[in-house]
Amino acid sequence: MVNVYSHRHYDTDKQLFEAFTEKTGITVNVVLADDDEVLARLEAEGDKSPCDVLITADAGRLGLAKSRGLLRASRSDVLNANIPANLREPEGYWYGLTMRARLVAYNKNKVKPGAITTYDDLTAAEWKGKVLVRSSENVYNQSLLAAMIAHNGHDAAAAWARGIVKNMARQPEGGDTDQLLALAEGIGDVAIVNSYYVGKLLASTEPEKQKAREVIAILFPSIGSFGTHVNVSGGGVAKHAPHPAEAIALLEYLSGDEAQTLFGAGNKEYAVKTGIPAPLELQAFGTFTADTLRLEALGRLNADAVKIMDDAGWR
Amino acid sequence: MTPLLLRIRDLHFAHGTSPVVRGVDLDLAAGEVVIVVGPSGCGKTTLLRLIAGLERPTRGNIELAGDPLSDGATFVAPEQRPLGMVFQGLALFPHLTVNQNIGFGLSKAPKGERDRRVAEELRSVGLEGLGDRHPHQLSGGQQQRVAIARSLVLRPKVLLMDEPFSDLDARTRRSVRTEVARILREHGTAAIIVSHDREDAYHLGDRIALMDEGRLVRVDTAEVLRHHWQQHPFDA
Amino acid sequence: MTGTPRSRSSYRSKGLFPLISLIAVLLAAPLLVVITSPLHRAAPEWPHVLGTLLPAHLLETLVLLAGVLLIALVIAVPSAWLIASFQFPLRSVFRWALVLPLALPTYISAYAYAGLLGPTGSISRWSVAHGGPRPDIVSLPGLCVVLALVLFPYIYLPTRAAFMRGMRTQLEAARLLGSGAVDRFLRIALPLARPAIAGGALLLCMETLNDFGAVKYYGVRTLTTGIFRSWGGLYDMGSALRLSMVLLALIAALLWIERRTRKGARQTTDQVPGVPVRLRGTKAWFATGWCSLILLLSLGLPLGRIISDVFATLDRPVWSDVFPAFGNTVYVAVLAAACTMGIALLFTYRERHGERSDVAIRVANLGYAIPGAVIAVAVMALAGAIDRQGWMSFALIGSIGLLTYAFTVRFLAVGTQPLYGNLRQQSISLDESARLLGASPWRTFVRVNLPLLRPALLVSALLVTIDVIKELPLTLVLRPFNFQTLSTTAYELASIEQLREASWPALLIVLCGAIPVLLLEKLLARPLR
Repeated sequence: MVNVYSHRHYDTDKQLFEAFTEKTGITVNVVLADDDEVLARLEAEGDKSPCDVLITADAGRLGLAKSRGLLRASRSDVLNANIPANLREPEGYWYGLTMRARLVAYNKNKVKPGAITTYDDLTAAEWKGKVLVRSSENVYNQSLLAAMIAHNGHDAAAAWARGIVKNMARQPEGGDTDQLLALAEGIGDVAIVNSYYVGKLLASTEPEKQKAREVIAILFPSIGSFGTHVNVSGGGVAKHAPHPAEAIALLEYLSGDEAQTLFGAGNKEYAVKTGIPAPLELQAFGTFTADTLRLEALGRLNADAVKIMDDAGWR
Repeated sequence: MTPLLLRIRDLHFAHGTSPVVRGVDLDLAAGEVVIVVGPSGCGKTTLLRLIAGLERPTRGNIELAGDPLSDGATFVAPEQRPLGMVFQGLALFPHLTVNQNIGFGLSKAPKGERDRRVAEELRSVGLEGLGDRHPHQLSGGQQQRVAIARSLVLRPKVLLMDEPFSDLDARTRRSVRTEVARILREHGTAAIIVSHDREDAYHLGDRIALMDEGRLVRVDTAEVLRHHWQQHPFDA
Repeated sequence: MTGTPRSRSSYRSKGLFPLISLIAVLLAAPLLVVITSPLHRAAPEWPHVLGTLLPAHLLETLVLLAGVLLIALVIAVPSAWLIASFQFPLRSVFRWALVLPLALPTYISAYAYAGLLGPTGSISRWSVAHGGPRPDIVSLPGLCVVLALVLFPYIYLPTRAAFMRGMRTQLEAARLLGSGAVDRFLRIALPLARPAIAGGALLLCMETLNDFGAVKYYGVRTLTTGIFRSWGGLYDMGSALRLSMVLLALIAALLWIERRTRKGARQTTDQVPGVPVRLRGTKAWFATGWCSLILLLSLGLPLGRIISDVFATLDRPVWSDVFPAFGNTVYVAVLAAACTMGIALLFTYRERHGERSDVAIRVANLGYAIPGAVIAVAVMALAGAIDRQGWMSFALIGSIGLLTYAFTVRFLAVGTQPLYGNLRQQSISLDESARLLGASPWRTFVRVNLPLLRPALLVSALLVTIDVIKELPLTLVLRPFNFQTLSTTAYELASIEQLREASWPALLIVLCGAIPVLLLEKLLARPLR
């Protein structure tokens, strides 16, 4: 068997674990926990921990797990072949399994497609009172800011944060989907959201999301010239894993064609493996250039990002 | 003959289906003190509560100084009845001082007048100097007098008292009883006092009403009943 | 707490007492971990937290407390007065129905209200479509209203009890002194009910401070979210623990205020309940209307939303997740209640028959003041240390025993307080008679105190059960493998923005919680002795 600590809460994962068990006969036991509690639990358990695989919803946490000695380096040719180098840790401590872009959704009736090309554009005067974004509590915003610090330095990132706060349509409330719904209601004109939330919205059949489906389009802004900020959801083998071989087997399965396709179809996430098509709902918006920043920077700079957002008044 | 103050005719009260007061007739003259004596459960407290207006009779009239308090057509709320009541357990307001307790019913009067009347009443029940204390700081007998003063300061036409001495020990009982008699006499207030103790009847009442199972079985002057009880000590 | 000094038994105590003290120390351990954290845990981000995080979070915490308290008082006190004093249409229904919001967890109600009156909620959309304003309840003021609507029963219950039982003759005496209904309420009922109101208000404040799900969703920055932010975003456990200390200091201040309030008031002895006065005409309809409005807002709207969401998601296969979660919730609640009550009884025994009050027991009773998330972390640290030493043959972390232990730490006071309250009314001379007849302290407790404690025991057990069913952060952190409860399922669905699907576990939580709440109400309504 293999024991998984995860803070991904999606149905697709369940399906994938079941498929894995069917295919290999290895049972998968899952502990779901909220973001940071998973790491804290691992730390507290120490070498008695039964955890084999740690799966997180963002790269920052993976980097943190590594720096706290919670993961072990594992070699796998399959994983190295399936996953591009910048989306995994070079020594094999962790591997990205799905990719999500933090992009800008906009109201088709109010904004022209070419109006925004960089994240910095959002701080311009013309967007005052028009920008929707969720709270700084959320790790996706923290990672975005961390990437900015990595590329442009502390001060530029702080200036950007302040600029966003000035342009906010309202104090942050709700999640990414709430920003999209608010967009449709006309509360703001642009929203910073993760790609899979847009995909899910477009795929949903709920009547009150109908209006949103009709007016929302997306564009892929860039950090300067570096490309669109991406994050990965991924996993690594735990340092004291009792079943390391099974752990690697699971990770390899998740990076394979079957799983990668299901991530896209079921959860609207981009695959990390090259050659897998983008989720259907997002294909209409075209391709984008992803930032090739080594994602371990995200974990390292997370605390700085939080402090910058605190100082800027980003709630 | 002294004028009739309180007139009670054919008073009935039932708790659900069980009758508690079964056809009571009683007259009270101005300045008169009537003691209602009976064993516990005979309905005497309920009788008092009916007069006070805290319960509604199922049948019968109560008339005070010619005005109906309770009959088929009207029912006057307790707040409006010119009656005072001293409850078993006294029901003093524990969060207020003695002065504030006594002055409670005078809230509509201007402050100066209220203070004056409270001080006067305090004096007349012999509690001078204790005005700023709280009830729990007083002895049983003193609390008793606060309760009486609280009602009397409003000059009620009739004072109702429910087992006023039952919480006191024997010696205090005697002295408080004498005090109460004096206070009532000085104020000239009529009173109906409920008790299960014959001694109270002997010493306090102008007339005594014996109650049993919801009825007044006998109403007579104190002398007559005193004599009767001496002859037949074990009668009700 | 168990009477005047005269009432402490002067007999030598032996036997169980050392064991009980040990248990108390074990339960007090997490609190001690938190308080001593500056000694054993560095906090590198503390300057930032102190300068930037703390002022904002502390301010919003205080504003939230004040807002919730004020609104809850306005809801609870008049309602308690109406129910206690008057007879009006549907009163007998309102009497227990107004207690039902206790079954609704704060975060569930918050999600439901966001779905109705949030910026894109159904009522908001309807309003905008008809030319009206766009309400947005997802804000600090909105949260004050939502929390007050869910938590007001904490004040309503003891206040209603005080109005019904504690002042009948005083109120009648006031009537005979010419005092009308409003005057009686202001000058007699309210002052005499003050200790009860203060006690309820204290519980309400503690629940508000403990809340995590609703506060987070509404974007309000409280000390509790600040603790998570330090721990998670800043990766600084040390700062998180220090913020916990600030939170505890605030709670200590509230405890002190409540005690001061109680001291000033004089108590009346327990009395027979008064007879409600029948209201007529417009007054009666006003009373019915007021209670109906409260029920509608606190229960009707959120439940309506949840039920409509359930129907909207009938086609989605949520049932296969919800059913095992339901079983787990019941299992965990029964286990925790049994453990908590067993220990509460032992502590009650010790407090009653011991010479001096046990300090460890006092500290153990403070667990209720500590937010569930903080207890979870402290427990993790403790258990982790033990696990790493290898003292036990199985891992503590991830065991159901540890989760039960944490629940006991958290909810002990919920178990002991009703017992202590009941015990206060048991005259010490009962104990002394038994001792004089040769019974040991333990026998006295079992034969004399315990039978009289039985109604309070049931009340305690039910209260603990309700709390465990609704509890969230502690369960999230400490649960075993493959172990979902209804609360964790609801929370997780909401956090991945599947609010509609979250209605299934939400509905079950409410139903599970409603049964004990109704039982509790029946028990409390029964006249004492």
